[in-house]
Amino acid sequence: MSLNLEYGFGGQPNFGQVLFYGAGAFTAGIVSSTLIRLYSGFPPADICDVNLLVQREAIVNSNGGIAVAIWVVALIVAIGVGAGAGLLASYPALRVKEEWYLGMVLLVAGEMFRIIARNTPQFFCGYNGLAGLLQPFASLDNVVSLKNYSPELAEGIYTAVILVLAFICYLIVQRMSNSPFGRVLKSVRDDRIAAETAGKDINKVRKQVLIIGSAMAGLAGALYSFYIGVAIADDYISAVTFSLFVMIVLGGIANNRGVFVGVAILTALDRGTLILGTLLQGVFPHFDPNLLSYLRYMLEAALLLVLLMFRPKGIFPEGRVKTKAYTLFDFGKGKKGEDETTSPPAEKQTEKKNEEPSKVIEQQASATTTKQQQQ
Amino acid sequence: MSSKHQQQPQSSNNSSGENILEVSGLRKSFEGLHAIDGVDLKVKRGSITGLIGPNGSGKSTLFNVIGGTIRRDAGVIVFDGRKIDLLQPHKIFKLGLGRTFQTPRLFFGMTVLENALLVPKDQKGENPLNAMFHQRWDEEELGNAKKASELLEFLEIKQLYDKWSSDISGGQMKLLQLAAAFMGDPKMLMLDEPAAGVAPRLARDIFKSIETRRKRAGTTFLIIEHRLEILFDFVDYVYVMSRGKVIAEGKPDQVVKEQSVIDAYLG
Repeated sequence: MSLNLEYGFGGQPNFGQVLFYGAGAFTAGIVSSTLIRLYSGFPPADICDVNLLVQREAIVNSNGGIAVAIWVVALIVAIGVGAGAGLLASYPALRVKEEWYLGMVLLVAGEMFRIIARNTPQFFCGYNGLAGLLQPFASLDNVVSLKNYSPELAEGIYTAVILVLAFICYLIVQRMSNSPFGRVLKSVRDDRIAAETAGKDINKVRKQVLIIGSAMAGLAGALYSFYIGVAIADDYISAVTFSLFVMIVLGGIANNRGVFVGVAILTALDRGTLILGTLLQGVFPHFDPNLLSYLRYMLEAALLLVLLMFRPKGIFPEGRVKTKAYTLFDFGKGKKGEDETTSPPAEKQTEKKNEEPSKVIEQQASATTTKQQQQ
Repeated sequence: MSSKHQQQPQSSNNSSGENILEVSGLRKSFEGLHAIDGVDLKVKRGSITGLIGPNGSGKSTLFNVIGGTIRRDAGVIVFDGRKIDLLQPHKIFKLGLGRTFQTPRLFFGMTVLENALLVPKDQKGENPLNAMFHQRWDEEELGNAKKASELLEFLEIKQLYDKWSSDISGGQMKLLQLAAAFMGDPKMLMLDEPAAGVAPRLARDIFKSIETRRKRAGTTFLIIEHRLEILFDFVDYVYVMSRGKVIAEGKPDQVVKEQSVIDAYLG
C-alpha cells in the first residue's frame, strides 16, 4: 500500500522499499528487547545474547499486558524511524531530476542496509539476526482453558490485528489518493514540469510521499518481525522490493483495491508452491521442495509478462480521483461517483442552461476581481 | 484591425506599476547557441501583448525562462514589482504568473475535470493530513468544481469531464490547457500558441474569451501565436523576435510593415 502511494500515485520508484521495511523490523526488535529487560528490572544487556532469549520469552509469556504495551511502543518507534529514514531518503530525491536515478540510489541504499546489518553484530545481531521477538499475545497460549479451545489463539489474534492495521493503512491511502493531495501526487508523477508551472512544489510533495510511505513500510516491517519472531538481515533482500512492485503492477498501478488483489495472488503463489513442494516430497522422497521456490519466481515473471501484454494497466486499472467535485457533473447522467447518494448542490439545480459564454467569463472574472480585492 | 490598438505600453520610462512584466538584458545559450540574446521587453498591466516571430526565434524559450523552467544566463526579470529570475516555477505561479505550453502538457493519468481542478492555488486538501478528512475541503472542492464546470462549458469541453486527458483530441487539449490556466486566477498569463490546432471559429472564440477575461478581471496576456490574422485583431502591442533578439515592436499594423520583420519571415 505504501509503495503504491509512492510509486503508483506519486511516481517515485522506491527500489529501496526493503530498507524502510527492514528498518522498521530491526527498530521494533531492538526497542522491544530493550524495554522488556528494563521493565523487568534488569539492566539493558546485549540484545543478541542467546542466553537472554529464554529470559525475555519468559517475561512476555508471564505478563501479557506489558507485552502488548511494549509491542505498541515498538510499533510507534518503528513508524517514527521509518518516517525519519524516508525524510533522509528524500534529500537525494530532491537532487535527482529523473525519478529512475532516485530508484537506483534507493536500491543501493537498501542493499547497503542489508550488508551493514548482516555484518554489524553490535547493533543488528549480525548474521544470526535478532531472535526471540514474541508475538504480543503469546501469553494467551499459556492459558490452559484457551489453549484447549484453540491451540493457536495468539497467532490468530495477531493475524487479525495485522489485517485490521492493513485495512487502516488502506483507508488512509484511499482517502489521501481521493483528494486534492492525490491529484497533486499524480501531477508530479505524470509531468514534473507541468506540475511545477501549475504551482505545485514538487520537492515538498516528493518529501511528503516518501515520509508517509516509509512510515507505513516501517510499521509493516515491525509487524512482520513480531510475526516471524526474528529480525534477520537476509530477509530484506532487494527481491522483496521487486515482489512488491510485481504485486502493484499485477493488481493495478494507482489502484488501492488492485494492490490487495496483487498481494493475494502473489501470496497464494508463494504458499501454493510451498504446499505443492511438500506434497511432491511426500510422493517422491528425493524431491527437493526448494526447487519450487525458483518455480515461484518464474511463475511471477510469466504472470507479469502475460499481464503486461494483455492488460498493461493491471487487473484493476487506475480510476479517477473521487471527490465531491464529480457530484456536480455526474448528477442526472447515471455516472457512478463516490457519493452516489449525495444530492447535487443547490446551485447546480438552478444552473442556467446554454448560458452566454461571455456571461460565464464575466461571472468568473467578477468573482476573481472580488477575491483579489478581498486579499 | 481592432479599435483596441490605442492601448499600448509606454516607452522605457514606464514605472514598474504600469508594467506588470519587465525583462531586460535577458540571455540564454545552449552550448554556444544564443537562444535568447539580450532581450528587453515590457508588458503593460491589463494589456494583451503578442509575441511573434519565425520558428526557432526563441519565443518559447523566452517563456520557459520567464516562467522559471529554464534558468537564465544573464538579465533581469521583474514581475509585478518583484525580481523573479531566480525563483522556482511554482513560486512564480503563486505570484500570479501562469503559462501554457505550445504542445499541451496535461496530466494523462487524470481526467479532464481533474486537470482543471488541480490548478487553483493553496487548496486545503493538498495537505496530506487534511486530505484524510474530506469535511475540511469538501466545500472548497465544490466551489472549484463549479468554476471548472462553467469554464469547461464555455470552452465546449464540459461533456468530456470524465475522459482521460490522454484520450481527447489535440484541439481539446489546447482548450483544456486554457481552462486550467484560468482556474489559477493569474494576474498574467503567457499563452504559447493557444489557437494552434483549433478550428478557426473556436480559435476566434478563444481569443474572445481572452479579451473578456482581460476586460473583467484585468488579467494581462502575453501570447505567442502564428495565426496572425486572429492575433492582430485582439492584441494591443506586438514584439517580433528573430534569432533570439527582439527585432521590432509596436502596434500590429505598424510592425508588419517593418522591413526587418518581412525579412525575418521571408528569410
